[in-house]
Amino acid sequence: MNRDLAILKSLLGVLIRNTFRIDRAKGEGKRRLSQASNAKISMLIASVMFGLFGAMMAAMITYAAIPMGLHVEVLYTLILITQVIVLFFGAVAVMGYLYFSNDNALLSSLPIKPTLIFSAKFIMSYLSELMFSAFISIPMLTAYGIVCMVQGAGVAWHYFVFMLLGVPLLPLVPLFVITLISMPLMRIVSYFRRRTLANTIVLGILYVICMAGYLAFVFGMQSVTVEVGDQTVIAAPAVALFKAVRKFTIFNYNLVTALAGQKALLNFIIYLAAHIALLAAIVGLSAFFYRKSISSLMEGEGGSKSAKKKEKAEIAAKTSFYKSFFLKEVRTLVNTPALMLSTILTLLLPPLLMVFMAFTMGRTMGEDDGFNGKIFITGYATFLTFMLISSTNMVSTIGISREGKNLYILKTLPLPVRTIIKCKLYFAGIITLSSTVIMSIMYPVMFGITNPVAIVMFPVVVFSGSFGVNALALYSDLKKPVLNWTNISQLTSNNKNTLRFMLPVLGVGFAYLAGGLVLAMQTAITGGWEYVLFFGLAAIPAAIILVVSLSRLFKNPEEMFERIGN
Amino acid sequence: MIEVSNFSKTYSGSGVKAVDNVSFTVNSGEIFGFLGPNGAGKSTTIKCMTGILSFSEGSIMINGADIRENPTEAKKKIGFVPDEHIVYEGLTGMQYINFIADVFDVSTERRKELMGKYIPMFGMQDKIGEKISNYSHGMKQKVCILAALVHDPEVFILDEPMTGLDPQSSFQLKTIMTEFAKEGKTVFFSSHILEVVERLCTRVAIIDKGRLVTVCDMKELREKRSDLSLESLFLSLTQGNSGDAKL
Repeated sequence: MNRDLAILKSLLGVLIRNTFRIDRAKGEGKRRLSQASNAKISMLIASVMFGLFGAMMAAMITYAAIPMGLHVEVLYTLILITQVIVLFFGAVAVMGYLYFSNDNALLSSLPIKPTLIFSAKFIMSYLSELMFSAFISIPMLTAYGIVCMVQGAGVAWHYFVFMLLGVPLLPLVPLFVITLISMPLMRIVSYFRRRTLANTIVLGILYVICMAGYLAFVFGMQSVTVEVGDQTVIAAPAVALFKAVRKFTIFNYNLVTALAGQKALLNFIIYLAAHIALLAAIVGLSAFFYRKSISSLMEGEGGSKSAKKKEKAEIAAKTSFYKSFFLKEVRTLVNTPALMLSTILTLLLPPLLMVFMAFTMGRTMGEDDGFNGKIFITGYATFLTFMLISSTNMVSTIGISREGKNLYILKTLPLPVRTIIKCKLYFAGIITLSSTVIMSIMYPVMFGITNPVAIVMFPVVVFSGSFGVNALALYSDLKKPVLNWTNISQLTSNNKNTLRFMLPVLGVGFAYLAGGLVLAMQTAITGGWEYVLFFGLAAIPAAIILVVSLSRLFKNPEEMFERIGN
Repeated sequence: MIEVSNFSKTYSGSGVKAVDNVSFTVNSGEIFGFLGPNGAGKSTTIKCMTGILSFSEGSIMINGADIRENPTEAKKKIGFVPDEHIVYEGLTGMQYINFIADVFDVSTERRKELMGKYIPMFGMQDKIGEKISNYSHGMKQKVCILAALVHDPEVFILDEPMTGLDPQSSFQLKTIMTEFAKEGKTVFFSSHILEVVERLCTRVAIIDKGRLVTVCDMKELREKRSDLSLESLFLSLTQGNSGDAKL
């Protein structure tokens, strides 16, 4: 037992050191610090924003729920929101850590029990999701606690103590769910010939299920609060939803009861013990599933005679470099689950959030109540779309890094560097364009926008700005790519490039949001001219980003490409 | 000692039999070469021997421990040098070696003693504290070899170990392999460099299309068929013309 613990400790230390690249190499310190600081500042700003939004929403709903005696149900819902978000965003990272790490072959050859490898990797997944989960849950639960305290809804000071103790436990349930689903799933996937594709499809289906759940939730939440006389109350469908959440998430009962102050310590201990028991059960299960799943996934994809024939036919057919390179990019994308899912996210996250926007604020905002809701929504939609499309397009943010060591092969090929860069940029552009098209259809349809300037200029502004960010991201990745990675999920989830762009993207996005708000509050410019002014101004930063980033990217890509690996 | 009995490996999904009913024994004190053309099943066999891949037919025993039934015990006896550099690039060479030493429960004194001997042999004294991601191909190979040696294994399994090594390190590795055999340990390695195999090995197995085509004693080959080099034997057996290759 002690020996197992010692191995687990050692393995964990190595995984943490390797993942977070903790090194004390001299000379690199200063540069690393400044990069880390940039990333941290961007991360901090994004988190504060996200947290503020969550806290405001939680406070508003809690405030309306207290008079109806529904605040406990709201607490269940806030906890569930955190768990669903971890489930939704954590699936790729967890699968990556557990099943698709390059170190699986090494660890399999060592005399380490599969349960220990599984435990170490599960802890790594947990650590990567913990910070994310805390950023979501702490502001919401704090706002809930404050509103309940102010309103005298039975929340005392120890609520905050148990909240801080409970927050670290929140990502565990979704991680258990992902792990439990993945155990038989990976065994099934390993029987498919095109294993990576099968895995992507299966994960995609999981995502669709999660999204369907999310949409059902959003539809259930539509017009959460309604005005009855001078009082804000929770609408009937939302009441039913909150009650259903309470029933469905009975596994959170002890935490909610502890937070509510009823035999708090005892309930918290029971909640903690249940998690420990579940963890032990999952670790026990891994003894049967994990080793075989890893072994099967490492076998390679084999191949039938017909597949080989098809491959021969493709080799015989000569094609242009552009087509060939594009095909390579598409195949890499399809055969890399983490990359494929992040692309799906780029395509689906903005529309999902727009649906959420439409049902939470869109219907209550018109143009005739002294506040021009439509132009505010336009500002909000432009901000949201630009921000999400720009920052989630991994095809550009890790455009060079995702080549890994294959980049050195690319360097040996007799190809103009500009052509390679153009291919990568256009490929990212196709994804950005697809997402823009979806949003450009949804924006007028969901918010009843009929102004032609808005309909034409929305895609122009969003695409040019986002494509500019694609170019900037690619430029930054070309300048300093990360090629020595062991797991592409690590590359996608801990990507400093994404964080680096968060700050300027947020800055421009906020300008759109503020512009919409200012135009909504004034009454001098109306009759459609507010759209002309908004998009006229909005086009300026988008055009600047586009021109500046394209000129930076294509100024001297040869030199940057040449520098890689030197 | 390595005992491979009626071992077959079929890839799930494709149904392709990568290794078909292979049996051989590698005795203690022996250096055993494992040869075969590309895709013959060498790496698959080695991956199954080291517990990386699972298999359903036959058995592989490492010094009496069944790799399938008792993998942890079997793996404790193995020092494995893979053909790919699957190492943690975020660590320094020394951190990586220490990790492997921890896994194999090697005492501080013992690891100091062993690494004090082997690190200078491979000329890694000045580089072992640097991050692996900064290493060259050959240096990564040296770290893999050092990590395999840190627990003084009873069975040394190497998959294409000479690839990327400079002549000095290649010579040192061959010396270590010979020393191991003299100490009564088992050395099993795959290689495409037939001259090295011919000079170093006690016995050689040749595998082709997943089937074992021969296991020959090098001494016997030299004595009985001085006209037949290992290269000729290999080429004739793996090109379907085995008539002239019999000992």
